Amino acid sequence: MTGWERFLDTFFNARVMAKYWPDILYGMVVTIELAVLVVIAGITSGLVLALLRALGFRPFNWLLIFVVDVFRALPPLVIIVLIYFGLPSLDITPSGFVSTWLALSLVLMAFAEEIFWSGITAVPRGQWEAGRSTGLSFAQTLLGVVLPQALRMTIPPLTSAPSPSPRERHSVPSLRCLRFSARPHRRSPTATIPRR
Amino acid sequence: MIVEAPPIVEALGIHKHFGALHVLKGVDLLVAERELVFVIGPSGSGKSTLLRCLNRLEQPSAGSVVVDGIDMLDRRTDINRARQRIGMVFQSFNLYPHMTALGNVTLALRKVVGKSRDEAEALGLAALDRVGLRDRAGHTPGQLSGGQAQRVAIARAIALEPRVMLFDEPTSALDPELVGSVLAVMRELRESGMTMVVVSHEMGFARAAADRVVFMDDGLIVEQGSPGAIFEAPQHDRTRAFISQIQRH
Ligand SMILES: Nc1ncnc2c1ncn2[C@@H]1O[C@H](COP(=O)(O)OP(=O)(O)OP(=O)(O)O)[C@@H](O)[C@H]1O
Ligand SMILES: [Mg+2]
Repeated sequence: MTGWERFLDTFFNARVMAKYWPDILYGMVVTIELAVLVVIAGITSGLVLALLRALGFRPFNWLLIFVVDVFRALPPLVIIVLIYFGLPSLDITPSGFVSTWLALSLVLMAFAEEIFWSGITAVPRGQWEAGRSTGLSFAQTLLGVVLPQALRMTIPPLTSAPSPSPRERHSVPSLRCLRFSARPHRRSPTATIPRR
Repeated sequence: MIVEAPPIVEALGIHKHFGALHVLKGVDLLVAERELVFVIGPSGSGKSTLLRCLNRLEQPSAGSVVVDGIDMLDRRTDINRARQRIGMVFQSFNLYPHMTALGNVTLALRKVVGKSRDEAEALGLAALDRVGLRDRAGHTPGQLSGGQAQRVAIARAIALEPRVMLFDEPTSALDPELVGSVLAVMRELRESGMTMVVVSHEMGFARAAADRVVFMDDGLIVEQGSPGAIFEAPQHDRTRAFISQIQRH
């Protein structure tokens, strides 16, 4: 084999490609499914949180800010692992797909909440006052006057929200590997680490 | 025998604190039905805050506010219903930028009064007609001049058929040549018998249309009287100083 042939055999091996392309295609479908579900869940829950934050109920908002900061600060893979290996101790055993979906949705929720919230706060105070002075309730002003303007401001930043990236979506297959190497029905990350 | 009608606005002993800042220090303001009360005073004297206490956009720290027989500070009062009877016009218009002029005027008609879309649009067009802007119904605020925007804001308030209208420096943000169109609408409102409380420095309008001028300084009403009395023969030094200062330009 010449060097060139070896190169082709390593990276463009027709036999190997034929064997694995259905798996790759399958992975792609999973990735797209996951992305769509994450975007739906993450954006919706982020919007709901931002609206709840607008109610201005202090203790709730402190909790919310803490949770949002945690999900923005932790690496998504850490959250995935925590859910996948942590929830079973509460007798909830999500699949790899569900764990990844949940984790990435939480991350997107956190970023989306911050973006929606900054949009809501960017709407001038006078808009609130105009709405309230005509007798609109708080909720009517929020949903009918402030939110439409906030959404216009937030759609550009949302399209570039930093998550979920393909890198994290690839955690699904890695979870499957982890599960295979763990003993059945017991998820423990230590199970994959050889004990001394 | 003359029976005095009870005042339609009765604000008594109003105090307002913003943290350590004591902005209103015991203000009494009574406004009779169909009266136009003009409020003047230096910047920071509390004029806007007083106006905003009347519809509870600002919660007074102490005192009582009764408008059209409704106790505005009573927790049991449906504040949204009560505010429907008190129109407010702001210095910066505060039109909803994502809606047309007609959308601005009809929003509360539909959401607060509960009119159908068709009814609300008929009432909204009538209100726009009153301010001379029926032909601008489909324009968004960005497509209106400042004077037109402020007139749409007035239409938004009068469409709800308020008993009282509050104006907070309605012409201060306008180019001089646009002030007249807004004042003309306000004068028409006045002639229709609307009760109005107007914070403004438009002395010409005050002379022509106000029943009473109230001078505020440092969170208190210093003196009040007819426009002639306040502008030509002010009793207090602070009033005199303020009047001569604003008449200089
Ligand atoms: N929401 C607020 N928080 C803190 N301070 C405030 C607030 N609103 C008003 N103030 C202060 O209260 C004082 C009175 O304000 P206000 O707006 O009532 O004055 P004004 O007479 O309307 O003045 P101007 O002619 O400049 O509009 C000012 O010192 C202002 O800084
Ligand atoms: Mg003011």
